[in-house]
Amino acid sequence: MQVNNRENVYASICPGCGLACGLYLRETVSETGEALVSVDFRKSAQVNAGKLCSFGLKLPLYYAEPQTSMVKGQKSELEAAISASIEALKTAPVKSLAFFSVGNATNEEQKAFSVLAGAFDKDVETGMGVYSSLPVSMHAALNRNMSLEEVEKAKQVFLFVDPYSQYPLLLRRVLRAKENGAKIVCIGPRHLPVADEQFCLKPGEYGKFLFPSQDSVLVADIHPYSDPEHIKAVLELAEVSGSKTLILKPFANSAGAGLLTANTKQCTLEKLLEGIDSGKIKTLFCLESDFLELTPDREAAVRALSKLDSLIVQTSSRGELSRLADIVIASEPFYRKQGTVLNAEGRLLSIGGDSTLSFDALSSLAAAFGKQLDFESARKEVFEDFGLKKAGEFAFRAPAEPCSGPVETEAPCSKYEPGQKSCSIFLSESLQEYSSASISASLVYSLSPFMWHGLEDENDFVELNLRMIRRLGLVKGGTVKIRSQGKIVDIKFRVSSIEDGYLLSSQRLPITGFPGVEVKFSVR
Amino acid sequence: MSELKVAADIKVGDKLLGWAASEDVRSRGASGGLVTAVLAAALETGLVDRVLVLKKVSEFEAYPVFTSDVQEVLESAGSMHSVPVNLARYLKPETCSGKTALPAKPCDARAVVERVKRNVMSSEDTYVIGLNCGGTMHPEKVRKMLETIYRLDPEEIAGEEIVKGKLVFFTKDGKEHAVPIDDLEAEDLGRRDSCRYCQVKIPTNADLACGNWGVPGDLAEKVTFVEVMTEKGVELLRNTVSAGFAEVMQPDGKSISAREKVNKVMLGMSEKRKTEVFAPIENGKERFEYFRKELENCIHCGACKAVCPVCTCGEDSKCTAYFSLADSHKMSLFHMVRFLHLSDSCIGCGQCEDVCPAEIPLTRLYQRFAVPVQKEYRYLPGMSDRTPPFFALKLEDNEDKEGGGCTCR
Ligand SMILES: Cc1cc2nc3c(=O)[nH]c(=O)nc-3n(C[C@H](O)[C@H](O)[C@H](O)COP(=O)(O)OP(=O)(O)OC[C@H]3O[C@@H](n4cnc5c(N)ncnc54)[C@H](O)[C@@H]3O)c2cc1C
Ligand code: SF4
Ligand code: SF4
Ligand code: SF4
Ligand code: SF4
Repeated sequence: MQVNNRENVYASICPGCGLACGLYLRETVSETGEALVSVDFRKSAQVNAGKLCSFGLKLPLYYAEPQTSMVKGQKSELEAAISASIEALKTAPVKSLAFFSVGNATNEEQKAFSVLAGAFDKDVETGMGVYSSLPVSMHAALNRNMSLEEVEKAKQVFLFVDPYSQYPLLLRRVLRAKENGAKIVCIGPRHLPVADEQFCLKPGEYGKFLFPSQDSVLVADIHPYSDPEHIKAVLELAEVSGSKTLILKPFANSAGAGLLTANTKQCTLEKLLEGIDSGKIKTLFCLESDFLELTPDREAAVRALSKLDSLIVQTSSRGELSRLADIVIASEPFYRKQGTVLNAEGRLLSIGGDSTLSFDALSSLAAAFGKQLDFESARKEVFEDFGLKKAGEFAFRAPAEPCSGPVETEAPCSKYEPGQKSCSIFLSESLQEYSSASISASLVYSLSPFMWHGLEDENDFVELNLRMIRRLGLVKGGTVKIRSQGKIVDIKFRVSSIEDGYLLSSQRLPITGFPGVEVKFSVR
Repeated sequence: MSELKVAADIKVGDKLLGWAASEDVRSRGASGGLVTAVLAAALETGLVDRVLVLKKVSEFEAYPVFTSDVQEVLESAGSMHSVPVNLARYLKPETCSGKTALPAKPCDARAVVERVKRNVMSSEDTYVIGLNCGGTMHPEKVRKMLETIYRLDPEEIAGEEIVKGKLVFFTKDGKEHAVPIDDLEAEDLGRRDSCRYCQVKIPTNADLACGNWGVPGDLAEKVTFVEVMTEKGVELLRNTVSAGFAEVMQPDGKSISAREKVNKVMLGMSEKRKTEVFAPIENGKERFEYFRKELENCIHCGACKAVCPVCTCGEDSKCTAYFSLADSHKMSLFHMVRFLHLSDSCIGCGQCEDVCPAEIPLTRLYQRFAVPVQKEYRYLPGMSDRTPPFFALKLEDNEDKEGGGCTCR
């Protein structure tokens, strides 16, 4: 019997986080044209030696629902969606336009998107508000190259991220560093097994308790909810001690998107949302970026987005944002794209596909507004921008020139003030009789690839330490009721080795947004 | 030089020297291109519908593909020691319709046998062309050894070979660079950990067992020593010879004994290593602590299950029922279930360890459970169609069992 399924194998990368791990994607196309995707290990990949985290292994779910183009809720041809977008952009007052792309698109698409935005004298927003809160002189430090292999050679590694959940393929490098004799210092509420020393510190305390040296590597990350004070403190610590920094980022091409966007006054997501809500932004164009999954308050975001005149979404994945969109421009799945991403190490990696469908859509849009950019020119510009002749596993971006620009802090679009909101956590009814005490705690999210991409994770529980569980009288196998600002969530919990006064969650709770908030546990 | 053997005379138990008839295939092949000739002939004559081979990307990279294209088969010739893949995992109900042939290292062939037992595929429809195997290397380590020991740029490598216990790299400038494998392994480079204690070197569980051990010096790299293990092996080889794809002849007694001798030496080295690695941990508390400590960095990605070629349970299985971290305290129940479940079937192929993002020496952990169980029941998984001991319904099914109680450590 002959098997008529066609199998395409793509030597690709994982879009889950800024590490951009190498993998193979096997696409089995049935006679009816349906594509089934499975993931395979690419052991020769430089970044990850073929190893993947659970997000990488769950990519078939990420790729499960291909997108279709839509105009006003009706399925349409791609060309019709592009024409409708041109019309929407033409009729919108220029001042009310916003272009948003966090780093899920290729560098070439990002270039084309910038060209399109440029046609309206606009910059692309990446949601990385932290840039605008830091002096421009610090921006280069956020984009410095550093290979994961260098972490292995460090004498001390200071971890300001949790590699177990946030950037899992960093973990093996840290473990190897430890095996080579390095001291591992972890900063955060979770007690990590790899830690030789563990601190739970506020940014202002870093200089007092942490003593890195020239042989140290500080590993931190920047993302749409980064606390500028924390990033500033990490960079200052690096500066004073002469240690190296590895700054990770949440999306496969966050680094590329950040560098290709000349805009140093990036808005925070909250500010963007404010703009939409107040009517300052009337037309929003999102490129491979799910604004809803990312914004701090989902409900507020839905309300605000409904006020837009036009929401244009160019994406390969189906989600609630596409359902809200006036126009959906369907792009090909990530692994089929031709183009590159710049990972957090500074490697320019090829995605491995051969389609320029999504790029071409952006290029047609730009052309409608008098700007021409073909794929080859975009690719050439990308290589030039990164000082490289070709992409590849050993192609590191040329080191940036030290910034000689002004050192004053840019006025941020909005100031991020962590820990302002508070929520109360009420425990299940059966426990209420035990105590009337009230315990304060901070809710901290492990910002994992699952969270950034809105994909469901098995870890559907919150974590508390044993002392808190005992104080709250919780019983194993039960749930904990958490209430904040009138909203309640009833969720499983797990005993974890974490600092007193913290509640950790690796999934977004429907009671708060992304930024960590001060919460109050109250037992009635 | 002895006479060429005619196809009709080939029978089970034959030990032969063989080579591809085509000069092109001979030059591409690792050792005379016999295996490629067998695969190509099987396709061309319609003996099989598809073959599973490696598609080369570079010296250090290749991925398995099913193909009906003879050209693709010819391009797959050559031994890739830096591609530690297990091909059996790709044989699934959705890929196994029709007759399939594949080249198979002992661990591939063993996994095929175990998968057949678990009804994932049919033995009758699968032709297994076994390759002797001294071991494979993880490409990451190969790069490291090139940079630190050989002091060569990986991009300059044109080919690689194992000759008389040395790993030889050929550079594009035509030069050879050799280092004894023992020296590499002293630096924790060289073969994968699991290959160093692997218990099968000649895949006598396959339909054909092919390798270069026993090939006389003057014919080195020009011919392959092949042992015909089954009727399907007879079918494959007769088909190849009668279609004019290869020639075979009788080796002399010296070749046969040389092959046996090398195999014995290799197995002895593996056994020694195994004894060192699996020294029992007598104290129960220490044993628990050993497992707890090794597993403490597990990030619960599930890669070890996904890659395991003998695990055929699918998404909803005994171990995944305990996958949630919420169910675990001190040590993951997911792993405990897996260790027990695989203790009679783990073939020590090293795949789980290769893909573990937390660098956990998983094969050692699985084998620590498996070695005593398999020893007690005198059961080497993947070597015969014997019912796995834990599935045996009657005591007689485990008649090899030598009393003495449980020796699990
Ligand atoms: C990793 C490895 C280690 C080996 N070690 C020994 C040894 O120690 N002693 C010995 O006598 N013989 C060993 N062999 C077998 C030997 O190298 C030749 O493959 C054999 O003699 C057949 O030669 P050939 O020219 O007929 O094979 P070819 O015609 O070159 O065909 C080789 C086939 O093997 C497949 N193949 C290549 N690499 C792999 C791999 N990594 N995994 C699975 N399939 C693969 C190819 O796709 C191809 O189909 C080893 C082979 C491999 C692949
Ligand atoms: S999510 Fe990040 S760490 Fe995980 S496989 Fe993808 S790129 Fe690698
Ligand atoms: S486990 Fe055994 S058969 Fe498999 S690659 Fe290693 S040595 Fe070869
Ligand atoms: S448990 Fe590991 S070593 Fe054992 S068969 Fe499975 S993948 Fe191979
Ligand atoms: S592969 Fe490693 S990290 Fe992943 S579940 Fe298995 S043991 Fe844990």
